[in-house]
Amino acid sequence: MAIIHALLATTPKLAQEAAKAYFEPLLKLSAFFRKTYPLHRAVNRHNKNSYIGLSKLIGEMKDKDFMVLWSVADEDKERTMPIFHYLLETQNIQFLNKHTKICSIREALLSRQLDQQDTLRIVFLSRYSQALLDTDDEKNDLSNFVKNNTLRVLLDKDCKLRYASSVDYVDASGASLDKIKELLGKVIELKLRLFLEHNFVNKDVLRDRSHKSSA
Amino acid sequence: MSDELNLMHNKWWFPLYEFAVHVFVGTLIFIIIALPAVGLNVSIHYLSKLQVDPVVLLGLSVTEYCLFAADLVLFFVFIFSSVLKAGKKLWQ
Repeated sequence: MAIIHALLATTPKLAQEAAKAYFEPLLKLSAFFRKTYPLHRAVNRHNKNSYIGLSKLIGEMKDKDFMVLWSVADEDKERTMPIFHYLLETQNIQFLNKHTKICSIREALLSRQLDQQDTLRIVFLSRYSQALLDTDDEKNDLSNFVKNNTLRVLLDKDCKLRYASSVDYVDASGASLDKIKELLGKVIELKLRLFLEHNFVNKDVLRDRSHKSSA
Repeated sequence: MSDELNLMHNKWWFPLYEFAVHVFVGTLIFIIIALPAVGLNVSIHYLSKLQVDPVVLLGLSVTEYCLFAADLVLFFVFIFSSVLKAGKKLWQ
């Protein structure tokens, strides 16, 4: 009797599970397109357009060792961080260095353009903020926003995101990622400090630099 | 409810029962989705007798086949995954 009662109690749940499972392929398919399509679209826009219009502005900004530009469509805010993670994880993220040469972080590390002391600054731009760049006043607004919203991101030796923090938020954890999410859609500058433990760091370069700085 | 679930999960035949419920519900959903396709097919036959424009009939046919094909794919995937799940649970 107890078993029959239990069967009656569990059957609706099983039926509900079955109904969900039936449409699971459709849900997976839509999730795939939701994730993939904005990624490709953003990457394409990033590659084709973003650098060109903004390189002047970036060139005017001080303390510009390495810049990473990343376009974020307003409607893609929710999906931006996964995309950002994706780019970091696949080392597909691109940046402009001071010579406005475009290459990936991986390439930069291997070619020793970057080392532990380098700081990357990532500028997130929404479609709206790209439109802002047309006038000088708006450029100033952008620069001020960037100055006031500097965030630091630590990467491990494989260029994977370890954690991010704003300058005034030292004990950074997942909360700072939420902060990034909040700020996305406007303009965000991320200060990216490479947390390289070994391998990629050229000790000679570091020594040279320290000699130079002490001199 | 959790006691009942625990009681059920401990039974060796529960995966089979679960599979049966899944197949029943899946078949029901398959029929529900297939019914409009069947309806379209019947209406196409009826409309062709009324000498409706062939383009309209073609559109309806394409819709019918698409609907039925999608339903078939979903049903096969569902049955396949249900069999796999049940098999794994029985094996454990």
